[in-house]
Amino acid sequence: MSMFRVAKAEPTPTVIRRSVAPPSVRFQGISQTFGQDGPNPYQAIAKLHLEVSPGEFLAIVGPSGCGKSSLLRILAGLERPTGGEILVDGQPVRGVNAARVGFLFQQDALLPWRTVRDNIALGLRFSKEHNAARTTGMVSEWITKVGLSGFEDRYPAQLSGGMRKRVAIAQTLIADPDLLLMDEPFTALDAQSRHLMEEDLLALCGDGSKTILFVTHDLDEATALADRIAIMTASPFSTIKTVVDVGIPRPRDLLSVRDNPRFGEVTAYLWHQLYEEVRKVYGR
Amino acid sequence: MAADLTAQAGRRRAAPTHHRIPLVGLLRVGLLLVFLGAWEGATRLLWIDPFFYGAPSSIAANLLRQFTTGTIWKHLWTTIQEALLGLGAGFLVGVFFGWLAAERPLLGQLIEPIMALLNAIPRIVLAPLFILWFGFDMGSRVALAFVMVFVVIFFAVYTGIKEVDQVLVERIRVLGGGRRDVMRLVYIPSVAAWIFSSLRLAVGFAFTGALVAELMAGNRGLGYLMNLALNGQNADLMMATVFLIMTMIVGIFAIVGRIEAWATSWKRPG
Repeated sequence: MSMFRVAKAEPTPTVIRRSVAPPSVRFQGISQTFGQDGPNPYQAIAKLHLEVSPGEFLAIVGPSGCGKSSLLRILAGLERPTGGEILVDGQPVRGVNAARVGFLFQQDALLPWRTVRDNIALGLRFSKEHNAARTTGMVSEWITKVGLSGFEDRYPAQLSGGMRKRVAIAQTLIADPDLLLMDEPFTALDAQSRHLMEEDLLALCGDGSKTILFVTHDLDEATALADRIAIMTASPFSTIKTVVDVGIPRPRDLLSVRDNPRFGEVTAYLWHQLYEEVRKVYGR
Repeated sequence: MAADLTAQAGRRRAAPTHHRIPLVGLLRVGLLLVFLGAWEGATRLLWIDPFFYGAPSSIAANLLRQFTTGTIWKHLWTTIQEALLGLGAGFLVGVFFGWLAAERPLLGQLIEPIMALLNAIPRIVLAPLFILWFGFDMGSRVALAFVMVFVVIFFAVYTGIKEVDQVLVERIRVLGGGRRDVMRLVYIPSVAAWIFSSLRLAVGFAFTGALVAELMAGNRGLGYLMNLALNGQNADLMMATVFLIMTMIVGIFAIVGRIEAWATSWKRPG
């Protein structure tokens, strides 16, 4: 059973399509030092370069604490780097751009005092061209799409972890962002829910209509979903160690993708690369 | 799967929990009657002295008389008025300073130890001081109720703001919300939840403050009635007043409980 009923046609003809193509992203010498003014500054990221093509699905893996999440936060405008610049379609990132960028957190981060319906509607209500009638229609549509019909008026505390995650996904995708950032979005879920979510993510966004940056520590997940995988070195002074081309054609079927000989090659290579980094951390 | 869960939720809600309540309720009422009967019997048989302990029948007669002659109303109203004024003032000032202390870290660091001290001591000991300052009338009672409540609300707001989930704040920002949206959707509901969880305590404190100040000085209010009964060695009046105060507080807590349940319904699973 798929949790998302994905229509082949454009889901909402009422939506004003603003852009032609999803954006490219360019990390240009990004550095991030925490506690810069304090007694113990810690430079997590040092002069990192990375390029993401329009419509690409890029996974980022690395030892824990290497600054993967920071990269996404900087790109989303939540953190400012201490050095370097990020360009989205050639334009430097200046603060949050909700119209274009969707960010799915590791936590579902729903407002506990708002119903499913209100939580999903948040982003649309913040937008300048908010139209109450259209919002109501789109929210109902997305509730159906993520399989939450009948739960519209529940509060987050009354939902299972998987359901909450689906609310967060609807909340993020309803504004139709063409740059999607995901920070270990499925980590907290059980293996089955996770598999379903990954399938649906591919169905919804795996067609190149969005540029996607996906942080994970699960190498199988990265290989199954992504076009390319960036491996980060251990922190401090972490940077991109190497970028791997997955080279498995789309559309992919998550059940059979593991039978592709490329899958084994890629994950083995990733393991090898990452193992070196992890050893550095423990070798110290 | 959706249908499945709905069915489950339906079954849970239909569980016959309310069938047990009448039995427990009956037993409770029965226990109360046995207690009152034993009390009444013991005073009739002079096993205990009705001069010191009163008797349920004479206490009830005393209460009835106070209500039929109407003398009780001005005392009841005085106490409620003082407690509510203290509660209102304590709430407003507590919210204001709690907010200020959380918003201005330097000020917070200055105020916090004072408030912690006020929180640690039994503030009721300030009663004589307030009577000295504000006289034998409403002023001192409201002041005591106020100081009892103020500290509670201050800490509810101060901790409430400091404990706001920053992930939610970032979530709102990422979805395109501005400062006002963060305030309206995250800060105010978070702080309200903290206030509601200490509302019962605050209401109880407001009445404690008003009653204790009345007990010490003045000529109005339920606390004054207690004092009058003590001076007149009138056990019936004393018991009647205690009963009245307890009934009043139970009633008020029931109302507060309703408000709290309504305001925090989002917390309840299922």
